[in-house]
Amino acid sequence: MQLEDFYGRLVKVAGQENVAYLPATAKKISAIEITGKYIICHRCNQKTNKQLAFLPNGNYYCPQCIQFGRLTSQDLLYTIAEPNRFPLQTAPLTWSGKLSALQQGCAVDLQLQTSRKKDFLLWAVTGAGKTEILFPTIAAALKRRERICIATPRIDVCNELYPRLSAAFKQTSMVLLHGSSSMDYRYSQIVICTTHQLLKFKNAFDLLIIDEADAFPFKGNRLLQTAVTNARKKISSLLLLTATPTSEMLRKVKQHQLKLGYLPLRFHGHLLPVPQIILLPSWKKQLQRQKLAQNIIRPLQKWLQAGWPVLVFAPQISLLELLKTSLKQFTTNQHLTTVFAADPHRIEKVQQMREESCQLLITTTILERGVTFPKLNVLVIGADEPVFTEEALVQIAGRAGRSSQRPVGEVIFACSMLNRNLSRAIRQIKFLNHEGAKLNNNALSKVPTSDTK
Amino acid sequence: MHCLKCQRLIQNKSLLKWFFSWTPIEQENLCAVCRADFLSLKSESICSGCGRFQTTPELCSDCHEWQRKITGDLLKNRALYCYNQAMKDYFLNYKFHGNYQWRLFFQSAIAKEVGKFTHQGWLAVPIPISDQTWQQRGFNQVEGLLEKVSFKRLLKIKANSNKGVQSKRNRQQRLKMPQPFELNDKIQVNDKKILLIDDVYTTGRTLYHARSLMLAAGAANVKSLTLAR
Ligand SMILES: [Zn+2]
Ligand SMILES: [Zn+2]
Ligand SMILES: [Zn+2]
Repeated sequence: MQLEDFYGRLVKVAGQENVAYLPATAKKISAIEITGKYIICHRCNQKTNKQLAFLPNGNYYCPQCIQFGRLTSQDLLYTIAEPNRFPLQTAPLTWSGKLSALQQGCAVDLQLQTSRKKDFLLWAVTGAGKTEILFPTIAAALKRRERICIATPRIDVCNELYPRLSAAFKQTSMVLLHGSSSMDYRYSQIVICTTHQLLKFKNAFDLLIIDEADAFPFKGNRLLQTAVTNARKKISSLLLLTATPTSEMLRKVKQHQLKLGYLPLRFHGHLLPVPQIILLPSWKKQLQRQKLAQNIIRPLQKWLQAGWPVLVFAPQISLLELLKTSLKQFTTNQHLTTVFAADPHRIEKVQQMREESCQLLITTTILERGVTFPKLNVLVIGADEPVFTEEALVQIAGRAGRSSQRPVGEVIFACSMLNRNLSRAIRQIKFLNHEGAKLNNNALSKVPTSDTK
Repeated sequence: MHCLKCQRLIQNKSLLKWFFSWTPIEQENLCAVCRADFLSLKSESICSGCGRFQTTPELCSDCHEWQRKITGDLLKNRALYCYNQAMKDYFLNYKFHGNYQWRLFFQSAIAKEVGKFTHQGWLAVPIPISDQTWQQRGFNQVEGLLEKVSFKRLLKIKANSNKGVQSKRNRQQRLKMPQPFELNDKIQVNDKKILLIDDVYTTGRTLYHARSLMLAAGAANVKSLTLAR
């Protein structure tokens, strides 16, 4: 183990291990604290009933963060206060692209608030170019030799972010950490990771960015919320990015705990595609007989002939194969496949779709966010099923029309009936378009913010 | 109650079923979705020797090999579940990562099966682990499965044995492994019916060693039960 591994982190050291090489400034914490009926874990800060944490040899362990290696009452955690030992950079940004006037407005605001160590919510529609908006803020932080983390609940999003940020900040040390990442931990100025990985850090980051902050499993997860609090420095800035903010976030904005940046227009200036609703009361029965209604076959055929890539979303994994066989009946196109969360070929299949060697991908909500395929059209089957929440539907519709080559896309929500999630999602999209249109009419105006102080 | 594996909320069993049953309702700790990943073994489609999952009840190739190797009858082993991917993941988490909570998943199924034997006077005897493993892991994974069952610790690992690292060996090395056990001398085995219990039946080597020790000490009959095969 190197000293650097302890900077801003919590490192487990077994009771008998020799730690003579650690400096006197290293802080020692016992991993598990035993109090009355409970144990408290000092890595994940969760309380567990002793009944669920005891071991027959007399020790206790924390079952809540065991995926990062078991901590028992015999273990010690060591940390060394983050020293920000990073090289001085004068021009860290190696990206040659240009922000639109609207993006620029948002970016300036963001940079100002983070330099003041304020917490910030960036509410930007799907396809607004959130990542690029971050670049000036990250560059400014790098110049201050700050340590930066971009965490997201979704592995796919991590994997998309890493190459983009590596290209934009070529001289900056960077590491990608998640459960299925092949990269080992090393001390670096930028960390890109899943929100779970934050548990391993302690007072490390001056700027902590949570992308897709409303996504599962981050949303409403106590363990991960504490992980965020512990991983950032006492004086630091937290930046939440989302296209579909939760009511909790908006409440914090109202209470002035969070600054808000609001970007209701896509980077190419076109409005969001408004989904078309198709009512198919008996789609489930038809699908069991491997049949699909004409009014969804027709647009699908049109899309495939035009050469546009298509994402088809189904509410359950068990329907994927049925959909595939049903779709194969009326298309000569061989380039269609299915993908789901535990699919061992998930990454390859998404890559094929990006390279357009696959034209139609049938999937579950795992691809609802983070992934971008140009020129895409989208069909949701069973859009009234409960897995398709209001946020999920807005995100899914937001997959379409993201490239400037084809800034308009078509989205179909097929459902057995209209429900609350569907009508709210449509209402949200129309509202954002209304706001976006106002901006379009006055494209040079500054982005409105809620900064009332 | 949330599923201990996937954290989903577990729907309670039917109230009517509970009302009309005489036994207290079981607290479920694994949800139906997670439970469905485990393949329980039925007597029609297992090897009549080791209990392995196959299409016919004939002896499998491993058991034929044992027949050539030993004198006397084959050990009759019964396994509750197939050693499939879900079961591999289970052991990775429970035994190797040391998530002791996960002992709860199969306790009822095992108690039911062991009960069939103990009602007829059999003694349940778990396979032990080394002191070193006990210190590291904090528990014996076999005894963890047996919390609802009364059992006797008749076996212990010999002081100089290195059974602890067994899972790192390949099949041939495992089959050559010398007798790792000895009896806890205070206890009488003479004329007793012994049900050996282990977590997994892999090559059978461990259980055959335990059986030969029991038979040498005068046991009347020895069978075995494992969670997985
Ligand atoms: Zn913990
Ligand atoms: Zn479960
Ligand atoms: Zn067999």
